[in-house]
Amino acid sequence: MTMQNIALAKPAAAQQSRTSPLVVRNLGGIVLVAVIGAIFAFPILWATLASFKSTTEIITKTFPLSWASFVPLQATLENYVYLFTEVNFQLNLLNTVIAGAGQVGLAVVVSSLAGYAFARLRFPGRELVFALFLLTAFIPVEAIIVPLYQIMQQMGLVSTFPALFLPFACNPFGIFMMRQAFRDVPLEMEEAAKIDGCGPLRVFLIIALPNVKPTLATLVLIQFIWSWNAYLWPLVVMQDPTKQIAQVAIANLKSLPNIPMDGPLFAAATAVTIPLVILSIVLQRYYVRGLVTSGMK
Amino acid sequence: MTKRFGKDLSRRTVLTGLAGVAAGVFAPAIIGSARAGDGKIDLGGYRGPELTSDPVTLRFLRQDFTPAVNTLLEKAYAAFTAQYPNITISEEKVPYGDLQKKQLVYMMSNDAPDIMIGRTDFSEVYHYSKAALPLQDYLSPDYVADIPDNLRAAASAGGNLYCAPWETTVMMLYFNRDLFDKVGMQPPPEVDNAEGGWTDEQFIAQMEELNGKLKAAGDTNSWAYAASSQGNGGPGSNYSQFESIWTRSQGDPNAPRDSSAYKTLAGISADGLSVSGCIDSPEAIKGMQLYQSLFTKGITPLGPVRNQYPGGLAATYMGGLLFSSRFQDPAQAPAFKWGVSLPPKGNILFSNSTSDAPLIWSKTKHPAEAAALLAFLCNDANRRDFHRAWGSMPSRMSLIHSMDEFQTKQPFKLAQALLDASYGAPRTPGAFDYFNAMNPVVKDIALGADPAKVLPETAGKIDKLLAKYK
Amino acid sequence: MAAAGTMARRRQIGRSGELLLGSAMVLPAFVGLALFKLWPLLSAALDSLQTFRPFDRVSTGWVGLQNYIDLLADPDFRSAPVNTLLYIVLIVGITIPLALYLAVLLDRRLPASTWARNAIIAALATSEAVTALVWNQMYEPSVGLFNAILTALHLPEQPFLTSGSEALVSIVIMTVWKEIGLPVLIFLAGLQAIPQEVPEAAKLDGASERQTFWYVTLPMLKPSIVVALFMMTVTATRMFTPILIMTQGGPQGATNNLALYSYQLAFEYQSPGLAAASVICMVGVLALVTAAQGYLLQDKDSK
Repeated sequence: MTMQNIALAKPAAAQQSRTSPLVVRNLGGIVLVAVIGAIFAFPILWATLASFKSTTEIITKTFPLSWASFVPLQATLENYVYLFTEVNFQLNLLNTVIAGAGQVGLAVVVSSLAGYAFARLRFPGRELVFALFLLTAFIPVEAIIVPLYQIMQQMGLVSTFPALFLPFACNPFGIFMMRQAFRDVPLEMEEAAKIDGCGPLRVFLIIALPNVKPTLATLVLIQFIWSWNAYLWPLVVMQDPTKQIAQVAIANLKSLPNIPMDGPLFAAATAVTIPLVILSIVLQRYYVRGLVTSGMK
Repeated sequence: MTKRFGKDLSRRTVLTGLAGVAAGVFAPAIIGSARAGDGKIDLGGYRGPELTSDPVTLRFLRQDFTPAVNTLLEKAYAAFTAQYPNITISEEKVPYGDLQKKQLVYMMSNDAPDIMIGRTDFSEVYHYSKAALPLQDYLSPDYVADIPDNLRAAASAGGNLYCAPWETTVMMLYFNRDLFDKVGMQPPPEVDNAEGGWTDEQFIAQMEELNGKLKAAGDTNSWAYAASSQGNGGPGSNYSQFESIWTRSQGDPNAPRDSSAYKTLAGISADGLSVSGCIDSPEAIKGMQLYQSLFTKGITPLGPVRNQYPGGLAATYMGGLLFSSRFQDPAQAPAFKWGVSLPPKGNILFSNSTSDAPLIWSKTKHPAEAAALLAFLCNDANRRDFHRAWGSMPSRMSLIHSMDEFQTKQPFKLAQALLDASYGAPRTPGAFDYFNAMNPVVKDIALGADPAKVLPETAGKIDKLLAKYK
Repeated sequence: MAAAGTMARRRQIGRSGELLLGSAMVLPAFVGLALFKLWPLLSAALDSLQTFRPFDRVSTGWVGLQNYIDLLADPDFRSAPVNTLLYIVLIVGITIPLALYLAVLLDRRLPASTWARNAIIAALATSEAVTALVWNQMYEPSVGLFNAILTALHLPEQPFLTSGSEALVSIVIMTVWKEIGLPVLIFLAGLQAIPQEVPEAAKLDGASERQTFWYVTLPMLKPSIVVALFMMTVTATRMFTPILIMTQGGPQGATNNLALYSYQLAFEYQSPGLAAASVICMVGVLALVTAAQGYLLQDKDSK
């Protein structure tokens, strides 16, 4: 089954004629949908607004309930200032980007190579190996954290940047997605190139790869988001605070005896979440395609 | 093995007194400026070899302090590196509640920071795991003798001093006089010695009454007793230093060694490998039931609450000497009239002598340099600056005697009395298991679990965990 | 224009070249997955059959299934597998039907749908750590936002994470909020893949809205449902970060699952053997549940 371009935004003309004269009748539905959207957006919006309140305001104004529980009455940037001067959060954000870049780079290379091989090259045990790869999707990182940590220790990679992304560069979903994409590249193009004398490697590089750019874009996005949000593995394997990523650094803002850190906590949460939210919404076409087809058998 | 019992008391007090007098006589000489006569920095009690001139990076793991204290430490590092430009100091700061767990991970990983802030209750662990460097080789005997006996004993194991206490932690009962006045009740007595404080039952009864009267007066924001701000806050955040007061104070140092009262106070068996009969004895269960009533009677919140007591939202609070020190500074004084009393007592008055104590990783590549840095941070001038800014009580007698508030002001005299009356933590190589297992149980009890059921279960669990240290 | 022989030879070289190249291209992925996924799992299985010394973690001998027996004897362990199953049942049981409902609702392309869809995607894009920290503040029993709202509505305050009965459900609700975006998007795509003629034909035959959905749309969504089910099952089984941040497994083990329990055994109680046994149990649970799902959902009718 070829991958369909999943149209999400523009309703077909036929459907338009179905819904527009019935806006009034569908008012209940519209309100329902709007409310659902509000429910899902609420925690993110609340945290973002709270990041502009001083910690005192957060503590004292949340309970009992009032408008001030949501909206900052005395909006201030002090949390962000604190975050970027005292905590040096920009270092953690930078580390997150570095880890993401490493993960994305490696994943793209490994997944395209393997995906093409599974799609177009014949070698013994191909289907068996592919099935084995899919099986590893059953193994969550939480299950193997201790042996994986030991392997990193033996490789001398604990608390280094490669430790953050090396184990996850080979993602079975990514390989599956690339295999699917390569299969969709018209066979005739490859055959034509072969007749012209291209070896299989050149066919891969010059014909196949350029034709799967959308899927590559999806792979990049998905791996980047996954890497950005990772928590447990960096918590365990990265002991060097100067190389620690943002998610773990945020959890460190949880508390200090007698010195509440709620304001900076919300500021950090916002700083880490909003970029990704914007990225996901803007690029949702790719995000969706990746999520959806990565699982389709 | 806990050392402070019965007859030991008088002998130890005399010795400490003598040491104090001796230190007092020599105090002016010891307490010099940060720079001794020849302009070099004062490495305090350091008596190790000459430092190398090779480039060295020293890693220091510690909890995060207030900005004022962090600045102080940074200034100290600057002074140190000015003297030794080949040495770079790299810090790692973690929330206090995660510090011990982080340390355990480091110790298991073969790549630990050179200096780590440990605690005296883990000294047996440091000994068993060979993770800490014996410090007496690098510190002068005077320095080591200057540490109060019970603290020094707590920080030592197998004949070695493994961590050098750098502050003393005593828990005292603070109160907000304004809130007591508001409802016309008497606050706890402001004594300056170990006699005369409230008992657990008195405390709970008073708090219940206070709570009722506050609600009747329309005050729904204030609590009778503040949430714990130990560790990560809330119940079960720091059993060794804090919540154990409720159980161990039900014990009795003068009871026979095999009685449950004695074992309750000890907290662990003589061989350090079994807690059955110690944390689940009838006395311990009673202590935890009293603790639980704080929550069931609505006297204290169920979770951490930031800045509760200093913010004026609680009538009483168990805290360290920190607050008394900070409150002396008009800029940091609270908006209400405050006072300090003894912590509520069970069968006896109980105080923990567990305190933060930095250690040096045994496998550090630069033991001398690490020891020198540690000694420098612990020299008199730096310590006094630290104690002024952070507020904790010094862990060296000469320093205590050089600060006149300990001679004159009630909160400080009370702190010293508590230090004299304190008991060490249960000594076991499985202190991490003990600590990691007790904290969640205390939290569960606060949230409603039946102590008579969960304490024996936990005792069984800890016993199994301790089996691997046999 | 090559002669037939040269073509054949080229094909032969091509085929062995393919073999070499194919193996070479798959090698990095193979090495990666073998080294970082399969070997650790095997290592965990082997560790679960040994005991270890604390601190230096040197093995002190092979003990067969003793670790598993010790696990069963531990009162803390007994709640972990039960809770793991509970998380799976609740999360999957709530998310899949709710996601179907939302997908159908959003598929009608009512004016506010873009707003709702973006909100759901935004929730999906948050990290587990941030979500747990923010929701932890909202669930706070004395001064948290949810109790503030309840009090303002004159409803009784709830203990949320501090009560054994409510804690697990509170975490489940938060997880559903965060993760439902994935099944919703999968179902939306699945719905759009259904050609319009099919439900229209059903309507022409006299089927009601409801009948159309149940007997026409739903069966055509089956592949999507299978995928969504698998992804949510894995998500529910490996729940870790929210539990660690919010309740650390309490109160009294009410929110503890096999993933967190293994972590505690390894990092807080220095028992690598027991931790490994617990991990093998977790993978076992996942395998069993997925196999059960596969069996129940297999295509009994040929398509």
